Amino acid sequence: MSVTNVLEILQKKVPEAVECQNLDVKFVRGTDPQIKVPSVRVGAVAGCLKEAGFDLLNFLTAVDYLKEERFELIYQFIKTSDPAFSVIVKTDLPRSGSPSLPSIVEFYAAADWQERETYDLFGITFVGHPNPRRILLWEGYPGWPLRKDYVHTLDKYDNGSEIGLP
Amino acid sequence: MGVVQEKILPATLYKVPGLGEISMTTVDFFIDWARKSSLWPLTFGLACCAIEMMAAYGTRFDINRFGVIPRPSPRQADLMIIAGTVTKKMAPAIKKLYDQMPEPRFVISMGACSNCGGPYFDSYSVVKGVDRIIPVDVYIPGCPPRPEALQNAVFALQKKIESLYVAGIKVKNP
Repeated sequence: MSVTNVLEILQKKVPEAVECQNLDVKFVRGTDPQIKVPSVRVGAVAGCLKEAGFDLLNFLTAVDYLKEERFELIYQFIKTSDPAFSVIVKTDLPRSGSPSLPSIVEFYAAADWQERETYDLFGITFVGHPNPRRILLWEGYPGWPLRKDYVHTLDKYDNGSEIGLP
Repeated sequence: MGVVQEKILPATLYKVPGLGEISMTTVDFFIDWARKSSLWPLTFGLACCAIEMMAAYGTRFDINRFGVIPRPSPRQADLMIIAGTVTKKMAPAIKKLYDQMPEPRFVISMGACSNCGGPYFDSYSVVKGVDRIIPVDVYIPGCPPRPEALQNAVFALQKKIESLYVAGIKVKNP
Protein backbone atom coordinates (compact mmCIF):
# COMPACT_ATOMS: atom_id res chain seq x y z
CA MET A 1 0.00 0.00 0.00
CA SER A 2 1.35 3.42 -0.86
CA VAL A 3 0.54 7.05 -0.24
CA THR A 4 -1.75 7.29 -3.20
CA ASN A 5 -3.70 4.19 -2.17
CA VAL A 6 -4.33 5.57 1.30
CA LEU A 7 -5.19 8.96 -0.13
CA GLU A 8 -7.64 7.43 -2.60
CA ILE A 9 -9.37 5.51 0.19
CA LEU A 10 -9.48 8.62 2.36
CA GLN A 11 -10.64 11.01 -0.32
CA LYS A 12 -13.76 8.96 -1.00
CA LYS A 13 -15.05 10.06 2.41
CA VAL A 14 -12.92 13.10 3.18
CA PRO A 15 -12.28 14.96 -0.05
CA GLU A 16 -10.26 17.66 1.74
CA ALA A 17 -7.43 15.25 2.58
CA VAL A 18 -4.15 16.08 0.86
CA GLU A 19 -0.61 14.87 1.09
CA CYS A 20 1.62 17.01 3.29
CA GLN A 21 3.67 19.47 1.27
CA ASN A 22 7.02 21.10 2.07
CA LEU A 23 8.16 18.42 4.47
CA ASP A 24 11.33 19.20 6.31
CA VAL A 25 13.35 16.25 5.03
CA LYS A 26 15.70 16.28 8.01
CA PHE A 27 12.96 15.23 10.40
CA VAL A 28 11.13 12.73 8.21
CA ARG A 29 12.22 9.18 8.76
CA GLY A 30 11.10 6.37 6.52
CA THR A 31 8.54 6.60 3.78
CA ASP A 32 5.34 6.74 5.76
CA PRO A 33 2.72 8.84 4.02
CA GLN A 34 1.84 12.07 5.77
CA ILE A 35 -1.66 13.31 5.15
CA LYS A 36 -3.05 16.67 6.13
CA VAL A 37 -6.73 17.02 6.91
CA PRO A 38 -8.91 19.79 8.34
CA SER A 39 -9.34 19.43 12.09
CA VAL A 40 -13.13 19.09 11.97
CA ARG A 41 -12.81 15.98 9.78
CA VAL A 42 -10.48 14.02 12.09
CA GLY A 43 -13.33 11.80 13.29
CA ALA A 44 -14.30 10.84 9.75
CA VAL A 45 -10.65 10.16 8.86
CA ALA A 46 -10.23 7.90 11.86
CA GLY A 47 -13.37 5.96 10.98
CA CYS A 48 -12.25 5.60 7.39
CA LEU A 49 -8.77 4.37 8.34
CA LYS A 50 -10.26 1.91 10.80
CA GLU A 51 -12.40 0.47 8.02
CA ALA A 52 -9.35 0.33 5.75
CA GLY A 53 -7.60 -1.99 8.20
CA PHE A 54 -5.50 0.40 10.25
CA ASP A 55 -6.46 -1.16 13.55
CA LEU A 56 -3.85 0.41 15.87
CA LEU A 57 -3.43 4.02 16.87
CA ASN A 58 0.27 4.15 17.65
CA PHE A 59 0.36 7.61 19.13
CA LEU A 60 -1.33 10.96 19.18
CA THR A 61 0.45 14.14 20.10
CA ALA A 62 0.51 17.86 19.52
CA VAL A 63 3.16 20.40 18.61
CA ASP A 64 2.97 24.06 19.49
CA TYR A 65 4.11 26.36 16.67
CA LEU A 66 4.04 29.64 18.53
CA LYS A 67 5.32 31.85 15.72
CA GLU A 68 2.86 30.41 13.22
CA GLU A 69 -0.01 30.75 15.72
CA ARG A 70 -1.08 27.13 15.36
CA PHE A 71 -1.09 23.74 17.03
CA GLU A 72 -0.34 20.72 14.90
CA LEU A 73 -1.86 17.42 15.96
CA ILE A 74 -0.14 14.26 14.78
CA TYR A 75 -1.73 10.82 14.67
CA GLN A 76 0.05 7.66 13.59
CA PHE A 77 -2.03 4.67 12.54
CA ILE A 78 -0.61 1.17 12.00
CA LYS A 79 -1.88 -2.04 10.47
CA THR A 80 -0.99 -4.88 12.81
CA SER A 81 -1.12 -7.24 9.82
CA ASP A 82 1.53 -5.14 8.07
CA PRO A 83 3.34 -3.22 10.83
CA ALA A 84 6.06 -1.90 8.55
CA PHE A 85 3.53 0.39 6.91
CA SER A 86 1.96 3.20 8.84
CA VAL A 87 0.16 6.39 7.98
CA ILE A 88 0.62 9.73 9.70
CA VAL A 89 -2.29 12.14 9.81
CA LYS A 90 -1.66 15.77 10.67
CA THR A 91 -4.09 18.56 11.32
CA ASP A 92 -3.77 22.23 12.17
CA LEU A 93 -5.61 24.10 14.89
CA PRO A 94 -5.67 27.83 15.50
CA ARG A 95 -3.80 28.70 18.68
CA SER A 96 -6.05 31.48 19.86
CA GLY A 97 -9.26 31.01 21.81
CA SER A 98 -10.05 27.53 23.06
CA PRO A 99 -8.79 25.07 20.42
CA SER A 100 -10.95 21.99 20.01
CA LEU A 101 -11.40 19.13 17.59
CA PRO A 102 -13.42 15.88 17.47
CA SER A 103 -12.38 12.95 19.63
CA ILE A 104 -11.57 9.62 17.98
CA VAL A 105 -12.13 7.46 21.06
CA GLU A 106 -15.19 5.87 19.48
CA PHE A 107 -12.94 4.39 16.79
CA TYR A 108 -9.70 3.85 18.72
CA ALA A 109 -9.90 3.15 22.46
CA ALA A 110 -6.15 3.80 22.67
CA ALA A 111 -6.86 7.47 22.04
CA ASP A 112 -8.55 7.82 25.44
CA TRP A 113 -5.51 8.54 27.62
CA GLN A 114 -3.54 10.12 24.78
CA GLU A 115 -6.25 12.70 24.23
CA ARG A 116 -6.45 13.31 27.96
CA GLU A 117 -2.70 13.89 28.04
CA THR A 118 -2.87 16.27 25.09
CA TYR A 119 -5.68 18.12 26.83
CA ASP A 120 -3.71 18.15 30.07
CA LEU A 121 -0.51 19.62 28.69
CA PHE A 122 -1.71 21.69 25.71
CA GLY A 123 -5.26 22.63 26.64
CA ILE A 124 -6.73 21.24 23.44
CA THR A 125 -10.31 20.09 23.98
CA PHE A 126 -11.45 16.85 22.35
CA VAL A 127 -15.17 17.11 21.72
CA GLY A 128 -16.97 13.85 22.44
CA HIS A 129 -14.33 12.38 24.74
CA PRO A 130 -16.04 10.17 27.36
CA ASN A 131 -13.87 11.36 30.26
CA PRO A 132 -12.38 14.76 29.47
CA ARG A 133 -10.33 15.30 32.64
CA ARG A 134 -6.68 16.01 33.30
CA ILE A 135 -4.59 12.86 33.51
CA LEU A 136 -1.09 13.79 34.75
CA LEU A 137 -1.61 17.04 36.59
CA TRP A 138 -4.24 17.62 39.19
CA GLU A 139 -7.61 19.30 38.72
CA GLY A 140 -7.31 23.03 39.10
CA TYR A 141 -3.74 23.29 37.82
CA PRO A 142 -3.22 26.77 36.39
CA GLY A 143 -2.28 26.76 32.73
CA TRP A 144 -1.08 24.31 30.12
CA PRO A 145 2.61 23.51 30.73
CA LEU A 146 3.73 22.33 27.28
CA ARG A 147 2.53 25.46 25.52
CA LYS A 148 5.48 27.55 24.46
CA ASP A 149 4.11 30.68 26.11
CA TYR A 150 3.49 28.94 29.43
CA VAL A 151 4.66 30.87 32.47
CA HIS A 152 4.99 28.89 35.67
CA THR A 153 3.12 30.20 38.72
CA LEU A 154 5.13 29.68 41.89
CA ASP A 155 3.40 27.47 44.43
CA LYS A 156 4.13 26.47 48.00
CA TYR A 157 6.68 23.86 46.92
CA ASP A 158 8.58 26.55 44.99
CA ASN A 159 8.68 28.89 48.02
CA GLY A 160 5.93 30.95 46.45
CA SER A 161 2.37 31.66 47.43
CA GLU A 162 0.09 28.75 48.06
CA ILE A 163 -2.15 27.57 45.24
CA GLY A 164 -4.74 24.83 45.05
CA LEU A 165 -2.75 21.65 45.47
CA PRO A 166 -4.28 18.19 45.83
CA MET B 1 24.16 -12.05 69.27
CA GLY B 2 27.74 -11.33 68.46
CA VAL B 3 27.49 -7.80 69.68
CA VAL B 4 28.95 -8.38 73.10
CA GLN B 5 32.19 -9.67 71.69
CA GLU B 6 32.97 -6.33 70.07
CA LYS B 7 35.19 -4.32 72.38
CA ILE B 8 33.85 -0.93 71.35
CA LEU B 9 30.41 -1.48 72.84
CA PRO B 10 29.68 -0.37 76.39
CA ALA B 11 28.62 -3.80 77.53
CA THR B 12 30.25 -5.76 80.33
CA LEU B 13 30.22 -9.50 80.86
CA TYR B 14 29.79 -10.84 84.38
CA LYS B 15 30.32 -14.43 85.33
CA VAL B 16 27.57 -15.76 87.62
CA PRO B 17 28.64 -18.99 89.29
CA GLY B 18 26.28 -21.79 88.41
CA LEU B 19 24.32 -19.75 85.86
CA GLY B 20 26.85 -18.78 83.20
CA GLU B 21 27.40 -15.24 82.00
CA ILE B 22 25.21 -12.16 82.00
CA SER B 23 25.83 -8.94 80.16
CA MET B 24 25.21 -5.52 81.64
CA THR B 25 24.74 -2.35 79.63
CA THR B 26 22.87 0.92 79.67
CA VAL B 27 19.30 1.41 78.56
CA ASP B 28 20.35 4.18 76.19
CA PHE B 29 22.84 1.97 74.44
CA PHE B 30 20.55 -1.03 74.36
CA ILE B 31 17.57 0.79 72.84
CA ASP B 32 19.71 2.62 70.32
CA TRP B 33 21.38 -0.64 69.41
CA ALA B 34 18.01 -2.32 68.90
CA ARG B 35 16.78 0.58 66.79
CA LYS B 36 19.76 0.81 64.54
CA SER B 37 19.92 -2.95 64.03
CA SER B 38 16.40 -3.31 62.69
CA LEU B 39 15.73 -0.37 60.42
CA TRP B 40 12.62 -1.36 58.57
CA PRO B 41 12.04 0.79 55.50
CA LEU B 42 8.68 1.37 53.94
CA THR B 43 8.42 -0.40 50.61
CA PHE B 44 7.89 2.26 48.03
CA GLY B 45 9.83 3.76 45.18
CA LEU B 46 9.09 6.82 43.12
CA ALA B 47 11.35 6.61 40.07
CA CYS B 48 14.55 5.10 38.73
CA CYS B 49 16.38 5.31 42.09
CA ALA B 50 13.92 2.65 43.22
CA ILE B 51 15.59 0.21 40.82
CA GLU B 52 18.86 0.69 42.67
CA MET B 53 17.01 0.34 45.96
CA MET B 54 15.54 -2.95 44.75
CA ALA B 55 19.02 -4.09 43.77
CA ALA B 56 20.16 -3.26 47.29
CA TYR B 57 17.37 -5.45 48.68
CA GLY B 58 18.34 -8.24 46.28
CA THR B 59 20.81 -11.05 46.70
CA ARG B 60 23.88 -9.36 45.26
CA PHE B 61 23.96 -6.51 47.78
CA ASP B 62 21.62 -8.08 50.33
CA ILE B 63 20.96 -5.14 52.58
CA ASN B 64 18.84 -7.48 54.75
CA ARG B 65 22.01 -8.57 56.55
CA PHE B 66 22.09 -5.13 58.21
CA GLY B 67 18.56 -5.57 59.47
CA VAL B 68 17.00 -3.50 56.71
CA ILE B 69 13.87 -5.45 55.85
CA PRO B 70 11.24 -3.74 53.68
CA ARG B 71 7.81 -3.55 55.23
CA PRO B 72 4.56 -3.20 53.31
CA SER B 73 2.84 -0.90 55.79
CA PRO B 74 3.88 2.49 57.17
CA ARG B 75 2.62 1.36 60.59
CA GLN B 76 5.41 -1.24 60.72
CA ALA B 77 8.14 0.89 59.20
CA ASP B 78 10.57 3.24 60.86
CA LEU B 79 12.64 4.24 57.86
CA MET B 80 11.44 5.93 54.70
CA ILE B 81 13.69 5.79 51.66
CA ILE B 82 12.63 8.50 49.23
CA ALA B 83 13.90 6.79 46.08
CA GLY B 84 13.08 9.00 43.14
CA THR B 85 11.51 12.20 41.89
CA VAL B 86 8.98 13.77 44.24
CA THR B 87 6.27 15.31 42.11
CA LYS B 88 3.85 17.85 43.47
CA LYS B 89 1.00 15.45 42.86
CA MET B 90 2.77 12.76 44.91
CA ALA B 91 3.87 15.09 47.71
CA PRO B 92 0.65 14.92 49.79
CA ALA B 93 0.73 11.12 49.63
CA ILE B 94 4.33 11.06 50.87
CA LYS B 95 3.42 13.43 53.68
CA LYS B 96 0.52 11.21 54.65
CA LEU B 97 2.67 8.05 54.64
CA TYR B 98 5.28 9.81 56.76
CA ASP B 99 2.63 10.90 59.22
CA GLN B 100 1.36 7.32 59.47
CA MET B 101 4.77 5.96 60.50
CA PRO B 102 5.34 5.47 64.25
CA GLU B 103 8.05 7.48 65.94
CA PRO B 104 11.02 7.45 65.97
CA ARG B 105 11.05 7.61 62.20
CA PHE B 106 13.91 8.32 59.88
CA VAL B 107 14.14 9.46 56.29
CA ILE B 108 16.83 8.77 53.69
CA SER B 109 16.67 11.02 50.65
CA MET B 110 18.10 9.01 47.78
CA GLY B 111 19.35 10.67 44.63
CA ALA B 112 19.55 14.13 43.13
CA CYS B 113 15.81 14.47 42.50
CA SER B 114 14.69 13.97 46.06
CA ASN B 115 17.64 15.95 47.43
CA CYS B 116 16.96 19.16 45.55
CA GLY B 117 14.89 18.49 42.44
CA GLY B 118 17.95 17.47 40.46
CA PRO B 119 17.57 17.69 36.70
CA TYR B 120 13.93 18.70 37.17
CA PHE B 121 14.74 21.77 39.23
CA ASP B 122 13.06 24.10 36.73
CA SER B 123 10.10 21.82 36.17
CA TYR B 124 6.53 22.88 36.79
CA SER B 125 5.62 19.62 38.51
CA VAL B 126 8.56 18.58 40.69
CA VAL B 127 9.13 19.45 44.35
CA LYS B 128 12.55 21.02 44.78
CA GLY B 129 13.72 18.59 47.41
CA VAL B 130 11.75 16.25 49.63
CA ASP B 131 12.97 18.20 52.67
CA ARG B 132 10.37 20.82 51.82
CA ILE B 133 7.73 18.29 52.86
CA ILE B 134 9.30 16.04 55.50
CA PRO B 135 12.54 16.21 57.54
CA VAL B 136 15.47 14.25 56.11
CA ASP B 137 18.20 12.49 58.11
CA VAL B 138 20.60 11.31 55.39
CA TYR B 139 21.06 12.59 51.85
CA ILE B 140 22.64 10.38 49.18
CA PRO B 141 24.09 12.16 46.16
CA GLY B 142 24.02 10.49 42.77
CA CYS B 143 21.79 10.03 39.77
CA PRO B 144 20.99 7.33 40.65
CA PRO B 145 23.24 6.32 43.57
CA ARG B 146 24.59 2.81 43.47
CA PRO B 147 23.33 0.24 46.00
CA GLU B 148 26.60 0.61 47.91
CA ALA B 149 25.74 4.28 48.41
CA LEU B 150 22.41 3.25 49.93
CA GLN B 151 24.26 0.82 52.20
CA ASN B 152 26.57 3.62 53.24
CA ALA B 153 23.57 5.81 53.97
CA VAL B 154 22.18 3.10 56.22
CA PHE B 155 25.51 3.01 58.07
CA ALA B 156 25.45 6.79 58.40
CA LEU B 157 21.93 6.60 59.78
CA GLN B 158 22.99 3.87 62.21
CA LYS B 159 25.79 6.14 63.44
CA LYS B 160 23.24 8.89 63.91
CA ILE B 161 20.90 6.62 65.84
CA GLU B 162 23.78 5.53 68.12
CA SER B 163 24.16 9.07 69.30
CA LEU B 164 20.48 9.63 70.11
CA TYR B 165 19.58 9.87 73.75
CA VAL B 166 16.67 7.81 74.93
CA ALA B 167 16.02 7.82 78.66
CA GLY B 168 14.15 10.90 79.68
CA ILE B 169 15.13 12.91 76.65
CA LYS B 170 13.25 13.22 73.40
CA VAL B 171 14.80 10.96 70.83
CA LYS B 172 14.30 13.03 67.76
CA ASN B 173 13.09 16.46 66.98
CA PRO B 174 11.21 16.21 63.73
